[in-house]
Amino acid sequence: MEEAAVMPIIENCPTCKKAVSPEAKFCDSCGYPVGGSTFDKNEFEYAYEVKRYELEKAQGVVKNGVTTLYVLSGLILLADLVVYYTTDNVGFLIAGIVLPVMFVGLAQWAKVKPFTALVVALVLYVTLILSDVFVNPASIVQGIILKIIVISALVKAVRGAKDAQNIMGELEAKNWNQ
Amino acid sequence: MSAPPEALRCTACNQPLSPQSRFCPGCGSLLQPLAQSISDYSFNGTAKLLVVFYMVQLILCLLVSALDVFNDYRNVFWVEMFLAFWTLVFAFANAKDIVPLYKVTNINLPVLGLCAVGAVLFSIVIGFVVDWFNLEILGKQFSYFQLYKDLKYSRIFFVLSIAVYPAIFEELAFRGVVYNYVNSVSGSFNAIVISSMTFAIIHVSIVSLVWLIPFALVIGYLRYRYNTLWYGMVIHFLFNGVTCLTELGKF
Repeated sequence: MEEAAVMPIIENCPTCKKAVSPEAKFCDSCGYPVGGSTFDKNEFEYAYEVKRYELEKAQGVVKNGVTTLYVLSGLILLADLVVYYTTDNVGFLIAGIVLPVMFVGLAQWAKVKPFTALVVALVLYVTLILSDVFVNPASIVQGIILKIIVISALVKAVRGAKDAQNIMGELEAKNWNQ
Repeated sequence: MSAPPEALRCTACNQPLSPQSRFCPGCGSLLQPLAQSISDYSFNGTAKLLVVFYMVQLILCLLVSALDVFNDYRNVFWVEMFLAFWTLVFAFANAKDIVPLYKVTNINLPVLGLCAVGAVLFSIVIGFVVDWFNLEILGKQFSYFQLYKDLKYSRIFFVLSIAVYPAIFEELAFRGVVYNYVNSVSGSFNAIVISSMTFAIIHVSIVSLVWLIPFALVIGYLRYRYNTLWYGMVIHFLFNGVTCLTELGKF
């Protein structure tokens, strides 16, 4: 009986599963208030969940941007090839190959470097729209809804990529990313 | 006799700590402050300036390639003058970070020589490929000199506009202003990639992207590695200069 009383009880932190010494009020790995009140514990768990939810949300927005790029690549390929076969203008064949390849490449790269790839994709897409507009001003209204959808998805994805980067840095610093 | 290692203690509550702790077990404060992420305010401010700086140039370049008035170099000339002025305004506004990039003491002659040889060789190869492409695929002969040939000092304006102007002002605009803006909010990797891609895209030619992107990435990397604009200026001048010479040789 006496021996059992002096044996330190090694507990594991409920969030990060690391060992916590019995006299600690907080887990020194993730900051969980092991010695705190139920309120403190709930508050910690809430903050933890909120961060992870924010990250998921930001990553979801990035994923939407990437999907938009794949769809855009397919549409450009289709549209330019149709125009090439009807007009026989080689320019459309070249654009119809180079642009989808670039957008698919950027979409793939966005899985590794989301912020960089999405910024480049946004600049490229805006340039394409504007270059059509200056050659043929009426083209601004052609597919205007599609253009707005693509641009807003890309702008949101760029912001999401930046937010995700910041949140991941915070999760890593706090050992909240296991 | 070595002094005992100083015990780690929490700065908030003086609790002794183990070196691998992220949080103080006594008071729960985060021990390493979070890496200073750029505030939304300064990020958005810089992003806005960058968008304004780039979009004005992009729109002018798109207009030059789309409108018939710019089939006359006299009109293109004023656009070039404006773009030079526009670049200088932003360069002066950020002079503190731009001026050190022109330090001559940063120049390393062997690197400069390598840049020069590389630029000339790359330009010759690209020149052949482009000629072949224009003739075989597009079925037409294309000449940059066409735009200048009716001018009084056509050759001088041609060289100034094709070789000298880009080497000075495009380098200042992209490897100077754009690079610095991106670098200040998003780090050197994004600075290299974004300055290179915006540079390539602004040339408004889908086919040219194929060589403009690697060309710009190399110059962007050199600017990052050596903190100078000189290598980019020399490469840009020689790359475009060789094209000038071969074009002039055709007339």
